[in-house]
Amino acid sequence: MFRSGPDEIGRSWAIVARLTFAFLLASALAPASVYGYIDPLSGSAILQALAAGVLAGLFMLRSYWQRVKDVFRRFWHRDAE
Amino acid sequence: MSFADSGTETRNDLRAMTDGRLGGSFRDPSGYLYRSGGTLYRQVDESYRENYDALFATGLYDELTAAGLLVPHAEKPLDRAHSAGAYRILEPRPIDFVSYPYEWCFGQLRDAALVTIEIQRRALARGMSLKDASAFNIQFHEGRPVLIDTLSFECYREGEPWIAYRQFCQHFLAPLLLASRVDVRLIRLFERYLDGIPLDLASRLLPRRTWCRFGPLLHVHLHARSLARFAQTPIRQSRLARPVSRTGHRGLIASLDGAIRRLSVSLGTTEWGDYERTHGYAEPDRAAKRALVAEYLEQVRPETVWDLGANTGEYSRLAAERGARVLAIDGDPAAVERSYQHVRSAGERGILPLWIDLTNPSPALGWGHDERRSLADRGPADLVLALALLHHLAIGNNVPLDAVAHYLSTLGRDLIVEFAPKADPQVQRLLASRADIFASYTPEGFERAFGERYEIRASVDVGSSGRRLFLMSRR
Repeated sequence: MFRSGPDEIGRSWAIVARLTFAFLLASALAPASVYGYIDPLSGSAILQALAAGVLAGLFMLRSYWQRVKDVFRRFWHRDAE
Repeated sequence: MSFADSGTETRNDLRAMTDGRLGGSFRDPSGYLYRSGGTLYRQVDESYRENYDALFATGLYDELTAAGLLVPHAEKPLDRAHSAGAYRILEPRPIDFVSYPYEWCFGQLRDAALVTIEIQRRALARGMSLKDASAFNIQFHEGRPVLIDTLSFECYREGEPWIAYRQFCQHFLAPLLLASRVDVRLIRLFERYLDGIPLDLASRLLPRRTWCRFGPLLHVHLHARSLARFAQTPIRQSRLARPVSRTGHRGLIASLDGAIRRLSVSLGTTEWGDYERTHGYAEPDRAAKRALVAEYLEQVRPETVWDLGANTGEYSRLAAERGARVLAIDGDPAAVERSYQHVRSAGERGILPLWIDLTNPSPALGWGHDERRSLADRGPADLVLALALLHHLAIGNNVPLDAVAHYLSTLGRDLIVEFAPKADPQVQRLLASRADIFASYTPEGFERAFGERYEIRASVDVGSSGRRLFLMSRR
């Protein structure tokens, strides 16, 4: 329970990475003063522009990983036949 | 942009604005719904021509309707146009009953979210994009969620952000996260916030640990901060010089999809969750009750049934098996969730479970009280089922029997109602914690109260339980 296996270390790193990402984006997004007339879409569009790189990267990684898994799965099934 | 486009035809009587336009669709500049000669039409305005044509030219309309994701329609001659500037007149396929997201259980809202994501994914692949991601644009038809707003699509322009991103997060992700991570009853916030839960509110209510999950972190917490930060900043071109690539867009959709798929709720043991095992009937009496309800249903042969206090829908299914379209209404979210999961797993087409508290049913809401209709306004049904319900209203909630009779008579023509006397163990449980101030709660008092509104057609004792089942018709 108190030993850190590779999984736990990986998990803590993932959390540290997320929190760093959160901190960086949050400081970029520190709220300015608020007035009555708001533009409801700017913040949403700007966040997408800021996060698009990360999201695109994750998306590519996931599709490559899927392809690698498919190759292995095919290999495995051929082996089993 | 409209978040309001929830009206497609119901077979019930739809209230219309004075000129025939329906209240739910006035915000959309692309067109609107109107009723003419009892039929519901959607006018597509000239301004939407390019997008409407693209919906067909890209093959998206055919793909989505074939997959059951979009309501199909027939094009009608332009002489039925409601006003000048019409490009097309559509007659959408009718939907049985228009329900609202604040009446759905967690599973229904989650399925509606996943369908919206799936539609956006397919749209992107064909060079289009959703300009609205409103939960009110999804309706349940024959057990499955389907998009009803044909005018939600626009041509995708390379590099542009997803214009409906904020709306999707407010209508789907925020309430689902709150339901899953805090309490399922928070879905009801939707009833106050008709354009979805404000993201700053969701961000405040969510537990701190959600900052460590990528989906909630980006789409709710940082999203809320970004909206506040840039609230009075017009989008300057320079700021968006780095556009959202198509892959970034697909990544965004995949991320939302993953965040929603990870969410679930535990049903636990709420008051009613395991009622089916703990209800007041011994097995032979239960069989007798089922047989009686079935017999009454055969006599009335209703097309539409509202099962009030349906619990997990045991008796709703008796009606649905006989071809009726049934609303299985209950005030306990866990019971509605179980009922909905049964609908999904068994592929049932005739039952729509809804989470509505009868002591405070859905009101008329929105602009001019005319965007979202009250429960009663979406009726009446052919038949109301009120089984094991009366004592909860009359004793558990202090509603006089004649007031119960009056309200039920506004909801449907015929009524199957069960009366449990004070000696009944379930009624005794209700009386155990309160003073017995219910002098008129007797079989005679019941027949007097209901006899004023209804003609009693039949009444039979249910086995040896002391309960009695009545079939009545409104006078």
